[in-house]
Amino acid sequence: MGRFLARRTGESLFTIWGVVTTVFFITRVLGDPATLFVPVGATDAQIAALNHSFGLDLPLWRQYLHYLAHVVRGDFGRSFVFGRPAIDVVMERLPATALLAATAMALGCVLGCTSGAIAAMRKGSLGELVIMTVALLGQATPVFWLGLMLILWFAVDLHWLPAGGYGRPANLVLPAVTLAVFVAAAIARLTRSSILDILREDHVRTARAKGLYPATVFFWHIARNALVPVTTMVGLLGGELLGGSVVTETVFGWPGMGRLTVQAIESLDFPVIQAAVFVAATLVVLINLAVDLLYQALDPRIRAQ
Amino acid sequence: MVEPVLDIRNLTVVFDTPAGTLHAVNDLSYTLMPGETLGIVGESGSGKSVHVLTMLGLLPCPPARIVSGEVLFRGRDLLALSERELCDIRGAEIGMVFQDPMSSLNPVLTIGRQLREVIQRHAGLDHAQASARAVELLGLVGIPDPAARLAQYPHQLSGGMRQRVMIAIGLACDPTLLIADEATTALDVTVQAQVIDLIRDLKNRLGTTIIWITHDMGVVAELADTIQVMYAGRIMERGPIAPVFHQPRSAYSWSLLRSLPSMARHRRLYQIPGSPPNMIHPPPGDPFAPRNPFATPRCHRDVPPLRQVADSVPGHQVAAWYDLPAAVAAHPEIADA
Ligand SMILES: Nc1ncnc2c1ncn2[C@@H]1O[C@H](COP(=O)(O)OP(=O)(O)OP(=O)(O)O)[C@@H](O)[C@H]1O
Ligand SMILES: [Mg+2]
Repeated sequence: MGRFLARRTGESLFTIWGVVTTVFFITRVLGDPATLFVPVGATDAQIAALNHSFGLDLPLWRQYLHYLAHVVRGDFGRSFVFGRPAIDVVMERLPATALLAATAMALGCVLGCTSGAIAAMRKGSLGELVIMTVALLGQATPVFWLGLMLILWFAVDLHWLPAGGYGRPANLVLPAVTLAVFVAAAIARLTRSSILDILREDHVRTARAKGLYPATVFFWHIARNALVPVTTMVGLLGGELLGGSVVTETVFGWPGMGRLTVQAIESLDFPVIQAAVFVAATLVVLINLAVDLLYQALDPRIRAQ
Repeated sequence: MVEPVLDIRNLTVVFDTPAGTLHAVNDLSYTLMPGETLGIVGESGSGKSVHVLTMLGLLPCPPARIVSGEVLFRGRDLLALSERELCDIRGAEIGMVFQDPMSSLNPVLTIGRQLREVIQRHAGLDHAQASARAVELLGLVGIPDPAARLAQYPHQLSGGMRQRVMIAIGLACDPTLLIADEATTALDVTVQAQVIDLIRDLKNRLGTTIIWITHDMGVVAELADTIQVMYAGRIMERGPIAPVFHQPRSAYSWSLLRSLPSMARHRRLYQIPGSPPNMIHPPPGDPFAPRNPFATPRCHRDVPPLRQVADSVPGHQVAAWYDLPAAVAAHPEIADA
């Protein structure tokens, strides 16, 4: 266990270093930020002065080393746009993204696992057909379209919920539902197929031959085993959502990391881009680590290897 | 008069498949007395598993459909019970041991949990008492260091040990009837011999009534009191071990015995000609007739009933129109082939 943790921690640090390095070089080819910040018709001297103040006049390798030395201290420099430490700008947006991701994940898991389980246990019924059709549509529907439709129905037509904004629980409903639909659809399909696989296994027949109550058979001998693959997908989706769901946050004006990242890219705010990518990568790595640990707790055969 | 433990009457089970109705069990009747060990043999697809799964309500319906019959277990018709009532019997009064102990145990639950859950379900014991009983059971089936096994998972045990765990689960609630379906097929010869010794020992100590399903005539000879040879969902022959092995009356059991290495002695191993019966369009008469060198015209026409062979051998029954000893004597060229 200790060796496993040490190895995975090493791998995680390497992954984060890779991401941080990649994003550094990619931002450098995005464009020249100084041209965006100086007034039209500025002199070359003015541009050079701005580049100097951003540290962009140094050779690339020195910029990189300088950057790495600061990154390990959690310092990504000051945002060109906000004039404050970039990491603070990003971390301020993290709660909004985390709230949206957690709500959507919780909603999507409950909905997806329940409907997937019903579809599997009632295979061949009308219920299964309906659930699987809705799930397929849910996965195929573009998130921005679903978001806009929800705004049209529930905000514009019915006036039940606000079309956007942040701060009150009502603001959370539409963006969370938009994301949850996608999550639930993916989880429902996987839950159904895993349960169908497990139903074919001999040990389920053994459990029934023991005279166990149907609920015991379902929870301990079917759902418990189906949890193993579903956990992996939940981890993948969770990482995706925590990185900030760009489209949903943009459609609903949700002040999260996804929207911030897009804005930072548009304004070539290098420090913020780098800080945002760093935070997102770290979160994904942490979630993967958690999923690996959970996976081992759920499946003793993996623990043995 | 002693009541039979199990009395199956005219059980017929079919599967509705896309290709047509598959006749898996056809008008099957037999009884099982307390303490008796019944060995059921027959080729793959002869309805051995389907008929026991039917009586326990473990068959998926659909595609399976019980057309007719009664299964009286200690006087109660299992087929007429509700799923709830059947649940109370399964694992408690009737224990099951399945083939392939790797896939028949849940890979993500400990051995202890898989034993305790059946004990707690039926015996109403608390966790500690159930654990104690689980340790006792593992000891009973000859697993060394039983207390330490409770925390282990199936993949940490060898195949033979896993099969012993399956047997312990089957015996957990002191069942009246233990059904083992190919319980030793997946094991190598040495382990198989150990498991058979174990069952023989348990049967003598606990007096459990046993149905032992297998492909292996040798195992039946060692373990069973009564042998029942099945083909195409029917009983071809049934009787005490000695007369059936020494004087078989059905051409199918005769063929099975002739294809046993130990029985063939100096002759060549017998190969049953032809292919297994088509269960969707079964032949009209005796299902084995198309592969039977001794078949008479009547065999191809009418289904033979199961009848007593001779008054001198009680319990020896056969379903055949021909007289096998006479037919073998009349055709030595077939018998020696
Ligand atoms: N779920 C099912 N759907 C359709 N047909 C089935 C199903 N289960 C069993 N059968 C058919 O029922 C017949 C009897 O099968 P059964 O499993 O009882 O044979 P068996 O004697 O136990 O054979 P084996 O020695 O291979 O275990 C076979 O023809 C088989 O193909
Ligand atoms: Mg079988």
